[in-house]
Amino acid sequence: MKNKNLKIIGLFFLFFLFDVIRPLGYLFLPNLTFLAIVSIALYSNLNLSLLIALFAGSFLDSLIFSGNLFYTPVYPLFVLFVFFLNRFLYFMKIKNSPSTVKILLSISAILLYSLFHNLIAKETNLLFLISFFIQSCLSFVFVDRLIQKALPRKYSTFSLKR
Amino acid sequence: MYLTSNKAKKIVFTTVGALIALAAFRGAFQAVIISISENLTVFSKLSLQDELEQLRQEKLLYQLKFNQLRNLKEENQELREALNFKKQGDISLVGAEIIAFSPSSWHRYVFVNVGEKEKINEGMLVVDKNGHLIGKVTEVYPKRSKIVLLNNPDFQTPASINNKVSGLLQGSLSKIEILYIEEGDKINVGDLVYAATNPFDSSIKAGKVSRIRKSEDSLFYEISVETFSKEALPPIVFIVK
Repeated sequence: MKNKNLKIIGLFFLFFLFDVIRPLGYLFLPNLTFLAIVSIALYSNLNLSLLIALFAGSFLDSLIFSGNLFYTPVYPLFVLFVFFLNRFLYFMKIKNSPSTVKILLSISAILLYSLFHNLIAKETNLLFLISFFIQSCLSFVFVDRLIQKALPRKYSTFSLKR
Repeated sequence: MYLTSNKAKKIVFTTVGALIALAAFRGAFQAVIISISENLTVFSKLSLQDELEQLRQEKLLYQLKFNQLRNLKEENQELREALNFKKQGDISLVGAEIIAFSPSSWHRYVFVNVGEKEKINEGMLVVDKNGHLIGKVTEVYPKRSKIVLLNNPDFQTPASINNKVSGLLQGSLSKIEILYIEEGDKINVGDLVYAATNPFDSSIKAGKVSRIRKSEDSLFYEISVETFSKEALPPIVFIVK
């Protein structure tokens, strides 16, 4: 268990570094930390996911030196969004397979994140939005796989019911 | 006290064996010594690299000064009769290394490792190694500064097109524009866009005009700019003082 915790912490630290150092500059658009938080929210319980999101958000805010708290409230909000959408789909008795629901949840979270940022930036750029969305979806597959491997076995299976 | 023949034989054989081994592995020993000395010369290589960076910085500085002098000459010809000509100060450059990026792809800014200690002020323009505009300093801390990039929607700086027409260079994720241009008929596609370091000097190339458009109900022209700076940022940038 301790090993798995260290793996998760190590993964998050790598994602932070990648988001802040950006070896490819802004050619690579997705925010890996956000994708990791969405992935965690799909597998873990609400309390743990909120805690991780809060910690990740505040760590990211402190890393970028700006002094403003932006990611600290945003990441937990997206965890809540994923959870409540999952619950909503469950209570709507959607008979799709868990993998379909998982894809739906992750795509909704990424889409909402990009629309949210577009709103804050007060700039709507369709080409940029599409690039961000596609890159994020492809990166999410990779991030999700890593998170699944790092989580303990009982947490690494997505289920509709919470 | 006296060496027995066995001991003597042992000593002789050991000595001869050692000499043979030395001769056989002479090449390997040489390689080890050479690699050690090469590693020691890394420090001289580092100093050569420093010198190269310094020379690049000087070259860039002279390029910017040349642009400034050319603009001054043109301005002088136009303002020969003027009485209130102000003397412009020399420009200087501060090299800085990018230490962090903003995680958001919408609000693009970077942090560099120079700040108040190096007398950096807000509003200073930032160029790459080719002298092309990449951003502007917006916040200064004791040992670091925040630079808003050209393709950030919050980026704005005064600019001129071929030193004839002035406007406001507005950053954007997609297309960079120059706002508040009334005299669009003086501009052609391909004209160079310069950013101003101060109200009397435009010597930093930002890009070139890629499109000129005017809608009927608008007072100003819509001028799109194609920037010279690349999407992928260099690790070292220069702040124009």
